[in-house]
Amino acid sequence: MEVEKIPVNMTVTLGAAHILSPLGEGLAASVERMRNGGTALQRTSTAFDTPAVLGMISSELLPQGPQRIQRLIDRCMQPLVRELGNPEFTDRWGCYLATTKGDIAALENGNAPGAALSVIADHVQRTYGFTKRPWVISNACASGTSAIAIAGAAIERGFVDHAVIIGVDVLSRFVLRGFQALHAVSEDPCLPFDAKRNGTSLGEGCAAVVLTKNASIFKDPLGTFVGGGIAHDANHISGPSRTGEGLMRAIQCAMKRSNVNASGIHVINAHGTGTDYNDAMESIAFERCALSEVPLSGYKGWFGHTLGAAGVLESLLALHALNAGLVLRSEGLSELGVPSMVNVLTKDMKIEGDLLLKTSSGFGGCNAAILLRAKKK
Amino acid sequence: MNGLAHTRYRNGHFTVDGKLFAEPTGSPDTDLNNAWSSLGIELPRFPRMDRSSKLVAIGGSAFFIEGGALAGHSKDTIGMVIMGTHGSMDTDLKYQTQLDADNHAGPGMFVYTLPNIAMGEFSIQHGLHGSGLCLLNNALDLAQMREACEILLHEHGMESVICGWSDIFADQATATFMVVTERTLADRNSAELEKIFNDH
Repeated sequence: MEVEKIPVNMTVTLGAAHILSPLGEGLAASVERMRNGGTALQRTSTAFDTPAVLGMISSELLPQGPQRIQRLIDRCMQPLVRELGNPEFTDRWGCYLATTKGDIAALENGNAPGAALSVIADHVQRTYGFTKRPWVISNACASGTSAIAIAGAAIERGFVDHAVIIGVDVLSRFVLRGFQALHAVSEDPCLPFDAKRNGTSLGEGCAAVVLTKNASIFKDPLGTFVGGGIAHDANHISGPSRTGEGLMRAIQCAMKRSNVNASGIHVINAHGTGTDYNDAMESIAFERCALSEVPLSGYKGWFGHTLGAAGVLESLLALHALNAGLVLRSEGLSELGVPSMVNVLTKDMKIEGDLLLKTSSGFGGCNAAILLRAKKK
Repeated sequence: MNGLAHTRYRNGHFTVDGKLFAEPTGSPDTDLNNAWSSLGIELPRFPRMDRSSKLVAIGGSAFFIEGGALAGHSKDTIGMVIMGTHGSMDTDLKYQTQLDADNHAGPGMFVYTLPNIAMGEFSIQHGLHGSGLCLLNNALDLAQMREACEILLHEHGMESVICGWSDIFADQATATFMVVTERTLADRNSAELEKIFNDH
């Protein structure tokens, strides 16, 4: 795919990030837990009337509200808005929501209109006063990474000056039963890239971050957006391409767009679901992109697959760690078991480099890749 | 109309560039099948796809038949932007009903409970590897759609984008698709694009 580099005389900066996941709240505390603690995945037999290993957020952390998904969003958005000094979200602000199923539990309660994904855009627009209608991006499990790619490009093209990105999904019987029917759920905490992996673990989470062309709105910027790409496998609706075609194309688009070659990438945060086919596909795509040597982790062994939130949540955690000169291990990995060469970490590692590649892949054969740079030391 | 290649489906009434291809029979499923047949494309998977995927297949495939706006174009640089209100809700409800009755639902149906699967199906049918976005909104938001198309064209290296509104729920099916390029978007203001979406 030929992508012509358009000169962009602009730096898009990330900051005011807030996350909520089974690890707890906040980037610093979550990364600390990942360094010194184990998985936040828990075995339960009471949730959704079926035994399962899940990544759940403690309800005690959530503000009051009728819908769980809104409570997750508010818990991330309230500190974000405070940190920015309660700005007016004029038409120079965009809002990009990433979700796969929104409040699908509403359907179980007979409220089909409440389950429409645009309902969360209504909530965010009304509660935080966005002038422009928030986008709802639903590219399956690549939604979060796609939203960052699109928001970054929207600022570079001058459509907006600032963008709030929110990735969110909650656990539901609807999705759990579906993944179980596909035999895609592990009975134990998932083991991304491991030889003994036998499925993913589902989790829930919310992650919010601001992208801007004006870094001075942040007290402490997190890093910069460098480029992004999205591509389709055009192969199968529920299984990833055996050749990693779509993921390879998404990575190549992000690299070309950013004038970066493989040797310029220092860290990879992969999708790493723990299913046989996904992790195998990713290893093939990374090898085809000449990225076999790059230190790589997948974070789902810590808190599960948070679906539409995953791309945003995992990007922010990896970038925060990289700001401390760290690449965190891939929790659950003991023996690498993928067909192509990849450098998946079993231990946390110190690193000098600053350029992070984040990738996500989802049903429908959709793949997304973004490049983010850690802040200057 | 405006010189832009476009298709329109309204509850069985299907036109390609304003020319009538199929008319309603009163049965939503028969209508989808008839509209598909009118394009004369072989696709053994079609009967097994969910309604939302069928609607996108109907709305978008006319651009690839002989003489179509995208016939013979490189499949690597065709992007997709698909917007709707209900996404996969038509299948979500069927899946939920089965889940409530049996505490189990088939994996084949679950896969269709994501709004972007219709776009994934379409990319498989036509071998499209390009960038794509599935957007949900209460109503057609032309500003959003235009921005999405411009990002795919200018930032993701696409030469053309199939963009459209596609929505199916409670037996009501509406789809309007068009092909846009950098040039056609630059030549047309939003009111002209809106006219294509709103004309009956």
